[in-house]
Amino acid sequence: MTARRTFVDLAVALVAIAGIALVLEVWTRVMSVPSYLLPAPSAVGARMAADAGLLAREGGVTLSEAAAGFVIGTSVAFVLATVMASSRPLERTLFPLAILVKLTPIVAIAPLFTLWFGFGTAPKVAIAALITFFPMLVNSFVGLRSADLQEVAFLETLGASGREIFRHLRVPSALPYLFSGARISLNLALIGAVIGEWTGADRGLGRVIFVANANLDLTILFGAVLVLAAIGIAANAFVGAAERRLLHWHPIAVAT
Amino acid sequence: MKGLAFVAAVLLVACNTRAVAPSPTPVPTEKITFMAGFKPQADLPFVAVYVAQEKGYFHDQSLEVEIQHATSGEHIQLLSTNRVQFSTGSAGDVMKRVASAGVPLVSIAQIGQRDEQSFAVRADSPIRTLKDWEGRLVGIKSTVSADYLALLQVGGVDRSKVREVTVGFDPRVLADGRVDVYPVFTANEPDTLARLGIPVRLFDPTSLGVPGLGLSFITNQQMVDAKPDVVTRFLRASLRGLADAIADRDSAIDVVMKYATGEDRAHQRYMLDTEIEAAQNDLTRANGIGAMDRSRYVGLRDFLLQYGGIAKTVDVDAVFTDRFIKDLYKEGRLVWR
Repeated sequence: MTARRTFVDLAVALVAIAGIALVLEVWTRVMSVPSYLLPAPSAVGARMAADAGLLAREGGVTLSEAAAGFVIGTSVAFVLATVMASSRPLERTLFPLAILVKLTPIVAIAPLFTLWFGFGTAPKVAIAALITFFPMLVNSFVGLRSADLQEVAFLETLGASGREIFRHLRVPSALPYLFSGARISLNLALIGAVIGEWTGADRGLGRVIFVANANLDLTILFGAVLVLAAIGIAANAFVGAAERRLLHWHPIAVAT
Repeated sequence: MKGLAFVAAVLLVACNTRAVAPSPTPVPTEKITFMAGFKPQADLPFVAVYVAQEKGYFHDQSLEVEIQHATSGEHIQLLSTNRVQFSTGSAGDVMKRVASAGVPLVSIAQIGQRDEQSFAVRADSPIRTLKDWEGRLVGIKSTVSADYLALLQVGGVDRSKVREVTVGFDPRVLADGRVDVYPVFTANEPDTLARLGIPVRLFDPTSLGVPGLGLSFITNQQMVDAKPDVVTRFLRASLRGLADAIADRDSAIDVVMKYATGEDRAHQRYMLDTEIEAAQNDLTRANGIGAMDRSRYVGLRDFLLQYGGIAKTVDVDAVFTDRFIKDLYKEGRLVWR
């Protein structure tokens, strides 16, 4: 049943994408839209085929930076959320700092990361980590606080330690929130890696997009954007599959 | 009292007579948009337009000019679709965009007569010659430029011995010592670095014989073909604004600061002084600021082709035209009418 539903969802999405591509193809041809303003989907497809190796390599670079940033950012966020969930004073102290991180315009400070972390992948990973931090922090915090107080009290009467309550009640209760945070953070991690690559990189899809934009080469620009989107969709599907597997007991797993 | 009334009446008649005297057919006011190729600052073509707007020169030319600023290169596409009628771009960039994407751009006045970029080393660096770049870390802003490759050849530098790293657009990587050589925009980044306490020495491609050109006023082919009079009037007013800026730089900076709010006035003055110097050479002294020389465009094209700046050749006569600028000057002086 689930496989059939997935197949139908995929087919509907593909038909919708094909429909949009067809409209754009006809429009660009009939209106003779120059490729430096909007390339025809067929031209983008042809370019993607011609540069498949390049896009795959650069996509791999961006994915690895985003994945590393995601792991670091969400891990730090979860630890901080745990601290905040366990203490009101710490919550009041740390939450404004988390808001500060959230409100910092990443694009404006991205060049500084090169000065702080040097060239190479480190500044890209750091930006990806920073941008993924806040959604996971909020979701983790709310999730850890969502444990049923009566259940907490029950476990305490059984003599459960704080660590045991955390492991066997708070974390399982937080899982739906963690997966929700992960879905948001994964896509943000990709965007963070791309922003990092814009500020000085010799690899990655962000660099491909940056150079293509400077050269008005929109076929490869859209090709890189589509590869980025494909990575994002695949990452989301991966998280969805993990969510269904780990949360098979939860109503949310049925809904997704 | 009667005498006074009589004199007043005579004056009124006289004024009225002068008002109805035959005059040229009024030119209908044309609304146009100028989009500067970057943020508000004292780039010389920007200053020319700011001053022309401030002093009413566009109005005198029956032009209503809206001034906009590009943030990320969107001016080129907007110009190509005629949503913007005039903008700025380096001659090399214009050539690249025409060659690679077929964008219908035309340079109509060459303001910067030197390459916009240089390569900076810290003033206390042991790097003295181009050859000294071997074994050093050279920053590349985004892609390897034709200027850079040409400099390596001019200096007999073995590129395989140079370590290149893509560093982006923040000159602090030179101040921080993360690179030994960093490409800078000559008009502003040396001053930015000096303000950070890092004076620099420059390897200037133009001085080393590399055929670069700086910023030019650009428009689209549609304007050149369909509204040449508007192109002429825009350039006439802008070049008068530019002449005023050169004659009174302090006043020009006053005008710049109205647009470049929050910028440092002294830094803007540094830019203006640097760009005024780069706008003048023997050609402009004989023919006026903005003068164009076809042979320099041919040289630039051949140079870009040789060093991979453009992948295929481009018709130089499609990329620039000196017909407007030639009409505006008489014996090197701007004719105002």
